[in-house]
This record gives sequence, C-alpha cells and structure tokens, in this order.
Amino acid sequence: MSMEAPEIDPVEPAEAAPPTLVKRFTRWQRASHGFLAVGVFGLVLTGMPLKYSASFWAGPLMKLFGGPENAGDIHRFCAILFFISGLMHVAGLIGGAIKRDITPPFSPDSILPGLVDIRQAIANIRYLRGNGERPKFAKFSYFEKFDYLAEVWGLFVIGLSGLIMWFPVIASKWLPGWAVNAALIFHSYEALLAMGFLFTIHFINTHLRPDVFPVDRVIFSGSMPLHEVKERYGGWYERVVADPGRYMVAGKENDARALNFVGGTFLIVGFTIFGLAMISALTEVIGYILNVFK
Amino acid sequence: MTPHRTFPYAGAALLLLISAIGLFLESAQASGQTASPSTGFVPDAVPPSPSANDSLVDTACAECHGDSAIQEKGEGFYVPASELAASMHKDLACIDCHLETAGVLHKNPTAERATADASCGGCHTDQQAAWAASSHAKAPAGKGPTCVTCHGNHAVQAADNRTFISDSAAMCSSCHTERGSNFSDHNYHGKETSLGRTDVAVCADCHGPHQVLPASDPASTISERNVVSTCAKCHPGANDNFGDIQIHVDANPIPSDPKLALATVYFIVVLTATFGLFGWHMILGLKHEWRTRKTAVGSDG
Repeated sequence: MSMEAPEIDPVEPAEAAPPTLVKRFTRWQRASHGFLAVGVFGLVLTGMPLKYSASFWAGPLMKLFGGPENAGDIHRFCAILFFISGLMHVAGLIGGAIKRDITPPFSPDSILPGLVDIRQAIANIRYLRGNGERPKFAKFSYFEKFDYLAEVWGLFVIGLSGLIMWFPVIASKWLPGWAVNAALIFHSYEALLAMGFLFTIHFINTHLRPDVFPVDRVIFSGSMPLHEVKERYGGWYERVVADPGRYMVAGKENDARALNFVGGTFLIVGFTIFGLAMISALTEVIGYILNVFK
Repeated sequence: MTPHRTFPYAGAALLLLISAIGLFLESAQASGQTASPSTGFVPDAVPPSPSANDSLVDTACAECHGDSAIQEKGEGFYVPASELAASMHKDLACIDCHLETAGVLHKNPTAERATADASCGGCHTDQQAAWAASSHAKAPAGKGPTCVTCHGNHAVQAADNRTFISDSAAMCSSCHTERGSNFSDHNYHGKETSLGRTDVAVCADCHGPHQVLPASDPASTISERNVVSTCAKCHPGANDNFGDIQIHVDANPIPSDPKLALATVYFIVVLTATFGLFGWHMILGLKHEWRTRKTAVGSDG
C-alpha cells in the first residue's frame, strides 16, 4: 500500500521493502483490549454524570444517552463488555498455559513485576532528569507493568462493587448492609482513579508519545517496528534479534489513517469527560476546604 | 482485508451498537409511557356534586379573584383559571374548601389557611388522620407542613403523579436540609431523582406521605420493625441486611460511619499517592521529551 508517510512518524519506509515487525500482542489480547476500551468508555460516559449528578454537564450528557434510566442500561451493557474483556484475559492465560506458548511468569519478558523494575524505575528517572543511559527494558517496562496490574486490580474492585449495587438484594443475602454503602464508595472512587489513570497516564505515556501520536497502533495491529523495539525495549530487543524466527513477522505497518481516526476519537472523548469530571472534582474539593474554614 | 485492518471497524461497530441500543431503549420507554394514565386519588367520602348554585358562587369569586389586578393592588389572592383547570379539584366549588368564606366574608387570611387544611379532611379522612398522628402535626404551630404545604392550594396534583412526588423532595429538603443534600448527593435514588427520573424512591416513598414519624417510633415506616417491608415495596426479597443499608450517608467527604470513613480515607490516600507519583513521572517524561526534541531540531538545522 503506497501511503503517504505521516510527518510525525520518523521512520516510514521510502524503499519498497516492508518494515520488519515484532510480534507484541496476540489477536486475542487485542480483541480483549478492544472490549475493555469500548466498555470503559461507555462506563465512564454513563457513570461520571451520575457521580457528579449536580454538575452542569451531567444532565445534558444523560440526555445524550436517552435519560438517566437508559444511561443505566448502557452502563450495565458496557459492564458486560468489561467483564468479557476480563474473562477473555483469564481464558487467554489458561489457553496459553495449556498450549505452552505463554511467557513464563518471572521470566524477563513477563508482565509480572520483579525487583528489576525497582532498579529500572530509579535508573529511568535518573535518565529522564538527564543522568545516565535509558535502562534496557524487557518487553514491558515498569510503568506498563503497573498499568497492567492497576487494571487487573481495578477490574476486580469496580466489578465486584458494581455487581453488589446491580444486585443489592442478592448481595445482602451474604453481606451486611454497610457493605452496599461501601460498594458505592469503592465504585465511585475507583472509577475516578481508573478514569484518571487511563485517560491521563495511560493515554499520555502509551498513545500520545510524539513518536506514535495520536495512538500507538501496536494495540490494533499486534506488532511493532523493530527500530521502535530497539529504542524503547533494549532488553527485549536483544532477545528478538537473537531469535528472529520466534519473535518477528514479515509485513507492513497497518493503515494509519483509520486507526488514527478511531484512536484519536477515543482520546478526544476521553480527555473531554476527564476534564469535565476534574472541574466537578475540584469544585467539590474547594467546597469541602471552604467548609472547614467556615 | 487483513485481520488487523478489520479491528478499528469492529471497534466503531461496537460503538454504533451501543448507541443503537440506547436509541432503541429510549423509543421503547417513550412508547411504554403513554400506556399508564393516572388513576387519580379517590377520596374516602363522596365529593360534593357540583350544583348550579356552586357555579354561581364560583363565578362570583372569580369576579375578584380571577383578575390579577386584585393581587397587584394587594387586596387579595389572584387565582388563575388555568391553575384550577389543571387541578384534581377542578370540579369542586371554591366554598367546598374555603368553608369559612361561605357567609362570613374573608377577614382573617391565617384562619382561612387553617380552615382550608381542615376542610381537606372533610373528604380525605384517612390522610387527615395519618397526618394528625405524624411528627409534622406535632411541630410548633405554623412550623410543620400542612396539606397545602406539599399539595399546593389550587393546582392539586393526583397523589400517584410521580412528577409531583419526586418534586416534593425539594419541599422536604427546604427544612431537612442536610438529610436532603446527603440523599441527593450521595445516594443512588437521590442522584437519579436530581437527574430527572421520577420512578425511584424519594422521601415520601420511604417515610410515608402523611404519617411521617421518626425511626425510633415503632409505627414509623422506617422503624426497625417496618423498614424491611418498606424497602421490599420496590426491592422484593429484601432482608434485614438490606434494611441496614444507609440512605442518608454524610459523605462530605468523610462519612461519620467508621467503616465508610475508612474506605473513603483509603481512596483519598491512594488517589493522592497515585496521581502525585505518576503525575511527577509524567512531567519528567514530557520535560525530557521537550529537551531531546529541541536538541534534535537544533542539530538538524
């Protein structure tokens, strides 16, 4: 496909030979991320106006979804997408374990954290401040590991508290009354935490880096150009070039325009709802502080 | 098309599907709404049937009170005909409620208001009795709400009109300020109500519309004995645990309940730590990016 090179992409092949790509995500993982992304956006868009129900933007946003009752139905539908992504992830882990093609836990390219992450975090912060070299990250750097684990923990907390509020009569068969009250607190704050993390730190660190702006297309295509691996994941790069048959695929980079459009839309919507929620959150905090001095 | 190319389209299709479901639900709900006409409230006593004399009297009243000039001049209340036409009491004559006015001419507006409330009980016997047993009736004279405080005077709405019931929450909150704001700010029912839903429980649904009593009174709808069956009106199968769920949580921002306070403090700490740490990390990254870009541009050109 003879596509115009986006100006911001530093390496776009001028020669006819397609760039060599490194496999990073399986199709199953990419589909799971898709369910998660669509689910989370639906959940945030229909949940935040309920969290900040007194704010100026809550009513109009609810109207956009056909009123608070429909918004509730959409919220629960997206919760199902969200659960599907979680189940897909677990199924992927089990399937990988059975087929024995999973990255072994605590091997260098595993997403599970280890002591090396603390060393690399310190080294990377030194590097970012202008001292020393960039650490040779494995397949996942420490903040990507944190991102992943925060997501798993978040899915657990927000999913469980959401289920308690979805089925309060069933939940109170086993749980005391205050647990339902606590579920609202957990759901509400964990939502703020997850939205804040995904829509700022995850977006900015993963998708809005100048090299890949506006989205890192690796999550759509599953593969990453070798030069990017070399630049960002030095440790992984060494293993990739040592065994290219295992890690690399032939092919070309995928259609940037369609992916940029979809990804860019998500980013704009995400930043908008985040901004609105932040206005409300700050107003609330300022109100509480002023109350103290009253 | 290669598999990875179909992916964004699958994402877009999912978004479209969600909006389509939203639209479908909206239209389904809109068509369902027309099917439930208001049955209205049937009083215990037989309402007086309108007679020729009544309409003559009403015409006489309207001569002064149907003209907005009377209120502008400060001589009395203006009663717009439109307000009466929309009222559940549109077939009643003025003097059916304004008992004192029949004969004696209106000299004492305060007494008139009291008489008007008393006259409601002429037909709505049970409601009058329930109110008389409530905390509201025991409030110091002039402080507690009477019939017209909530139902209004002329534009009386049907008792099962959910819009009227949901709106009445604002009336309750005008005295019970903190309970009201805790309900509308930190409770699902209250939030949904403030966003315009009318089919979720508000004050009157749990506390009862007329016999409002403190939870300590066994006869109260929210007493230990009755609270579960009150919840079960909407939540069939509710048990004692369900009845323990707090409705008015004072999360401003830290609730007084120690367990809920702990949960809130946990999140305040986690939020501050996460965004503090990663915010700082992100700024470091952006500053580094800015420096390297500048250097790269400088060396290029």
